[in-house]
Amino acid sequence: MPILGLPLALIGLAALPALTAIYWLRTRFRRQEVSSLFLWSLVAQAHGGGRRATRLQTPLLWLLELLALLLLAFAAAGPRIPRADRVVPVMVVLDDSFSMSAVQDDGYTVREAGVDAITQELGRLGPFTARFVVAGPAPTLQEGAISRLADIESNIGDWRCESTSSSIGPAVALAREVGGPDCRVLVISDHPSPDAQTPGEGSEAEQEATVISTNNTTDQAGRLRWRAVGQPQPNAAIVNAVRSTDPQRDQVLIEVANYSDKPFSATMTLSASAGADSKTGLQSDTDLGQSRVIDQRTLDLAAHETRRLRLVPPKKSETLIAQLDDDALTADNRAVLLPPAREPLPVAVSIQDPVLFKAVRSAVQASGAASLETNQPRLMFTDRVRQGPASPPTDSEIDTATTSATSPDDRAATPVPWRVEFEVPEAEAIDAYLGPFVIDYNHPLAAGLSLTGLVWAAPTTESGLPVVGRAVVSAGDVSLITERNLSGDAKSLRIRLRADRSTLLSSAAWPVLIANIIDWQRVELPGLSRVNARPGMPVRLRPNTPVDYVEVMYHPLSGALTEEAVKRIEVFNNVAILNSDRPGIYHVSAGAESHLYTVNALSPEESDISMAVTAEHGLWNDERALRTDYRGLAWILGLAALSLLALHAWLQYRPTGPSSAVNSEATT
Amino acid sequence: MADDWGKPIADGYNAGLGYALVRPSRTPAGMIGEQLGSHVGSSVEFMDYREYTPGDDLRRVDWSVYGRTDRLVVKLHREEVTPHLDILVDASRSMALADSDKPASVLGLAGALSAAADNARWSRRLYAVGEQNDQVPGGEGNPQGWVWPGFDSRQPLGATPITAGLKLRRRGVRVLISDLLFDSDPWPIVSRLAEGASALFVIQVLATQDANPPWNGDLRLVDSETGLLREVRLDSGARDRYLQRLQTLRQQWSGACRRVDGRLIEFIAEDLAAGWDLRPLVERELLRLS
Repeated sequence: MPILGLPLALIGLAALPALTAIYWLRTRFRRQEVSSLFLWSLVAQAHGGGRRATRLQTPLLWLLELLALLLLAFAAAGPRIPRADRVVPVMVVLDDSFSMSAVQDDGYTVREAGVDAITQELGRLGPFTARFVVAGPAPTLQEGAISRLADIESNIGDWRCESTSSSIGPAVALAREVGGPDCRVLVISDHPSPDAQTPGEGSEAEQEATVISTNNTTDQAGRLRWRAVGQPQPNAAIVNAVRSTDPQRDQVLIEVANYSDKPFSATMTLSASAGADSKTGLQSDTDLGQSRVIDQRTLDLAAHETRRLRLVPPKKSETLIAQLDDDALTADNRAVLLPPAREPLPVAVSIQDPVLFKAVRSAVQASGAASLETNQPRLMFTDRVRQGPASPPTDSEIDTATTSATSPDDRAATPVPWRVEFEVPEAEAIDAYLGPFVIDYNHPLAAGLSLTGLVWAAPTTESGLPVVGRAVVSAGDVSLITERNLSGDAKSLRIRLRADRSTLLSSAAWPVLIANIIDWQRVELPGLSRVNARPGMPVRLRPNTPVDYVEVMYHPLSGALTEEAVKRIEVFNNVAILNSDRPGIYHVSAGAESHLYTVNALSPEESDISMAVTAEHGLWNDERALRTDYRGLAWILGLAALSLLALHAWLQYRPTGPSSAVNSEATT
Repeated sequence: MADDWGKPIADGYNAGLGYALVRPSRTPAGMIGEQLGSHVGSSVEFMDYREYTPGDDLRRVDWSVYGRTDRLVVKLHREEVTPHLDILVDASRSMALADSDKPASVLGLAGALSAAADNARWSRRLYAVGEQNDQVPGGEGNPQGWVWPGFDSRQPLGATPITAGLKLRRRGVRVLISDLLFDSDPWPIVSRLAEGASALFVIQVLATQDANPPWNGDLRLVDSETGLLREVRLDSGARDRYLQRLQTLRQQWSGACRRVDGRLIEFIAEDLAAGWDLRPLVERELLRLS
């Protein structure tokens, strides 16, 4: 700590020249004529002045006072020495984002530079005990603690640097919680500390700074040390890869970005492979089976340009692999897109109102996840509202809704379709509602739904049918959309709407509502909810046959086989929720059936390593660390100063005899 | 006589007019004069008888005694003398210490002794002792006619024999006036002065700063005689040691004086010049009230 920050020490130091000035003023010689000098011969000659140059000699008392002041000033500065028995607890937070796997100019990865930084930081501490927190999408505390530098690498095996985001803020909070008030926190990352960034530099950094500072209390200030070990480099990356879920219209959208201040040429190769079979899993230990190049092109990207590519796969059943040339960061150079696993949802529409009929059909077709040409509907839109106990639709309803003939046996095997019933009132018995509309956003139907500014015409309270079930959307005390259960797992949705008196059908909320209804039902279908997922996005698996658990095996995006342990996921209500943070290919086994889904490393923030830095921020020598790790010397210095002052007093006031006259005089 | 010293000499002389010198126990010798001496002389004052021996003046035979006792005895009479006072004044520069009344006191004291000598009808001489021991011109007469050579001697008093070049009167009373602040054994000086003297008085005249240095702190002391420098740090302890040394010096001089039946008399110049209180001289039997 700077000396200016220690007022007492500053005062003590200021006293030194003051004391010297006092002595200097006192030792100025006044000329005095005397009758004779011989009587003064026994009076010792004063030193420190005079005309002749003599060896510098200073009064002992002045030296004692100067030394005492110096000791007191030093004591006021709070000097400390390390405790012999101290063991410094350290929590190391490791940025697990895949940008940490970038290869630097020297051939080492950022992760390896981070290991070196950890070794340096821990090596300076003396005896230590360190634990590690891997900051992926969620912080993960590593088991065990180390006290030797040689054990670092063996304890950070889970630090793979594959995540598409890093929760450093929560990881620091976890580290402080686990480490306790006396621990020090070391953050290893490739971007600078949020505290070191100027405000407004980045929203993510601001949020992270907020999280970290929220956990920063006064006595914890200074316990966080941030080591950024990155290196700014150009990088071309696949930042988005989407494959249509509609098997009838298989399309691929790929976005390639150039994170560089200079134009960049990248060759993108699109391959198709039949090796990734959900039935048999991955067969090869090198890649996704036999693949063939179906497209290869050179992309001349301007600085910071993002290029969109739309492609149509030749076969909808093949796995597509998009691959860029290797560069500093290879994790974002490959994307694997599996073919859609589910067929479109069969939907029937049985509505008399031509306006509403047309609107429903158009919205169903636009969803891309449903098909109207089916004879075994899983979802039925109708304007026949049934009251009383829930029951499956009648045959006449199904006949009216479908265009293909179906046999009675087929109908018997068909599961009960979900119903969406439109209650269409007479024109004279409606009330038009302008809002505000109360939406239950916990319901799947409410995802992305906004009714602000719409006119919704619904039956009046007197004319409408009795409302049964849970309200999803309501206007005041009038329920507009309600949900109720039918027999089995089927559900019924009633929408009270007069279409020609409402603006709902001509708004963006209409296709959203219909798409939500279709997805609401689709998730209830057996199989995976999606096969091309993003990191952190939950994937739901409904096995065809009830099982207690499913087993998940991870493979990297290259398709190579690994020896990682199979993870077992419990199944509740015949649904397994699979959370996948690591980019890769996941093989899921549920009894006799198996499924595949991919998680691609798509993260523009992590792919942009042009802002990576090598920097240090924060010091560990805070007040608490000083108290716990160091022993104060102030009391020793104080005692020494007191001893000097006692000696000073003895020298000054001791009885002066003839034998001691000279010494006493010299020290006066 | 320099005008600078006229007033203190006159002040001292006036102060001494009320006193007379005390004849010491050992009768001073001197030229034939008005006072009886301690030796046999030719005065009318009967002193003693003794047996006649051949060669005695027949005029001094007491014939009446011879008639009664048939013995020849000689009648002895005291001699008649004129006692003498020699005043030796230290002429070193230390006697004219700046910011002190030492020169005025010393010369005033010489004037007072001269007045006391005149009152006692003693003859007197004034000497300036220093590098050259000289008789002060006019020193036998009226103090107003003294031609004092000044306090210019750079040589301490004991550097040369104090009586060298001086024709001190035998059996005279000798008075040395000095501050005695020189590093020399007092015995040679005192013994030389006492040799042939009927009485010896040493008067030490110190300035107040000589007797009790009032300063504190660091001082660059300058010797008024030699000009040498000495830098000292003065405090109570150092002052005590100085006074101890001064007391030792006085004891040495006092002891030396006792050995020759002389006396040491001390004055503080400023006190003396302030009131010309000569009682210490009376107490030491150098003066008496006239």
